[in-house]
Amino acid sequence: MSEDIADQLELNRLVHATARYLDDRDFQAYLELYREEGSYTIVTKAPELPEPMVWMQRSRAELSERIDAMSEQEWEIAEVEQTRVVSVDLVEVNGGEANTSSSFALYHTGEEGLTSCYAVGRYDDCWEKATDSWKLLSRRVELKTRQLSMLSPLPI
Amino acid sequence: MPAELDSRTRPQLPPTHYLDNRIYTDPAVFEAEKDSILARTWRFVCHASEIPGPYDYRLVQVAGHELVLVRGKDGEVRAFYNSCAHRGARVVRNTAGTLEQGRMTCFYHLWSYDDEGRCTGISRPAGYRDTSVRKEDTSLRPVRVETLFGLVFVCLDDTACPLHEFLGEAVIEAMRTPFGIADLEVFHLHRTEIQANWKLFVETNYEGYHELLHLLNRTTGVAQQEYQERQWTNHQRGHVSFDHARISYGNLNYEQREANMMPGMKPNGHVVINLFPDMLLNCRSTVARIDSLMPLSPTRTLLECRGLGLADDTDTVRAMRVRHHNQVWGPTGINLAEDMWAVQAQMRNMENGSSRYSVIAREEEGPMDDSSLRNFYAEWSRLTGYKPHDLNAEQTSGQG
Ligand code: FES
Ligand SMILES: [Fe+2]
Repeated sequence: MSEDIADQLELNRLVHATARYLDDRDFQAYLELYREEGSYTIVTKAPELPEPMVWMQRSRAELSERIDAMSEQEWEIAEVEQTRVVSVDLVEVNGGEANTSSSFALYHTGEEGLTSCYAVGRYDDCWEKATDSWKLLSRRVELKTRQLSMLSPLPI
Repeated sequence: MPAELDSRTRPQLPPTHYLDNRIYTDPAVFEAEKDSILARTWRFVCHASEIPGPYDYRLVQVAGHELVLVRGKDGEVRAFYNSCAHRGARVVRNTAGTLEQGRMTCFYHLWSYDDEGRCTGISRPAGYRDTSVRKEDTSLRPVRVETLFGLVFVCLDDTACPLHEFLGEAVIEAMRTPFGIADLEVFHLHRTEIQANWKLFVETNYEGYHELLHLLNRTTGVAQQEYQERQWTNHQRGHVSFDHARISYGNLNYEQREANMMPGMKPNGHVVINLFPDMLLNCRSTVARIDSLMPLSPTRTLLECRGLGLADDTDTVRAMRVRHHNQVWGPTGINLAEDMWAVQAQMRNMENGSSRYSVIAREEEGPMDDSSLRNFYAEWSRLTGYKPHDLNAEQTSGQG
């Protein structure tokens, strides 16, 4: 297998890993996929405003700090089974850097077993190869869904 | 023997101090609210910065009606029912934009209207030759609009008092900080459907007692001795304002808000102004928030939240305001999520009848007094004619 194809497969696996760790609420494993200086942003565009809105922008450290500082209520609110369905449609490797772009749908399943689609959008990711593994330099979540039925500071 | 206060038994309290929870669930009450409150009071619909230029338009919803707001070439903002005079089709179909050639053309039979709502063209007019239908006598149905400090209000009732009288001098003075000193701009707008009656969400901004719910408020506000001096001021017609308070953001390791404050605000300051029935204004030193509601049914409410900064913010300052906004408010902030969750938890028990009465009886000098809620319900009762403590009591003719 060529190195390029190996990288492509690995990046594909990593995008799915981000989703799986969030589904499993393994935030530590999720954050470890980021570089130290990595960043996470949620943006969305509404027809009423000329510029896209930023709904969250945090460095990896800030994200980690925010999760640790979540209130009891915030944990209870976010207590819902999550399932992300991700489709990676672009992997561009350029030496030690790479971009991936994926569409995602996030489903919520409540305690009664009822499932609904919570949000859809795209993950636009920049990766950097550090020693032997790829790490996220930035994830930009572009939300198409703007009416969210549950509000939370947790990454989408 | 039943307890004296168990959410099922009528509380032994003055009628102003408790609520019959059916005011949140009864479809007849909801219809009465639509007719006597939502369609008769001045309602905030958008900020002037959302329709900045000539021919810019916005669709907005008021009391179940869709209105189109248009800024005319003369700079004036006008509002119309978005309904064609011919056969009622929606004339404007995009949420926001700029009118092409200053015209609104109905897609159905191509009648057109100008920026002042006047009909400028009826297709194939010869067919109306022998009737009274003439473009000169045709227009979109106008709605009253008034703008104060860049806040655009409409009122569906042609007989209601002017906006200034509706608000009163004291409220207008309270709104001046931060809305009336410099030009503001909306940078954030999102909607969320709350599975609860609209009044329950309004109440979260009308009372300080539930600050105990919020980690942020408990830690950075209520925990300070001086905070206990904060007072609600009850204004005419159900409006209220919550004194300025100093917030200790550092208690939660949040950035202090001491630079680039909104006009008139003090460092780390917080003010709240609530306009009856459903416009909730907050300013936390560096950033302002406006909430307004679209009640959809007794048990469903669309909440619309805006974040505002100054129109001439630099990119760096704007980024700071966005950050401060998102810390507390917005879909990823700490407080909005908690408020929404709280009222949904309440609503479940009101809907299934487990909870028949609510207590709004706190009387104290300080932020946790319930007189602001009582002020809201006095106005609610005046307009709907219902007694909020007893839906079975004879309904008087409401003045709304
Ligand atoms: S309904 Fe608008 S032109 Fe006929
Ligand atoms: Fe609250």
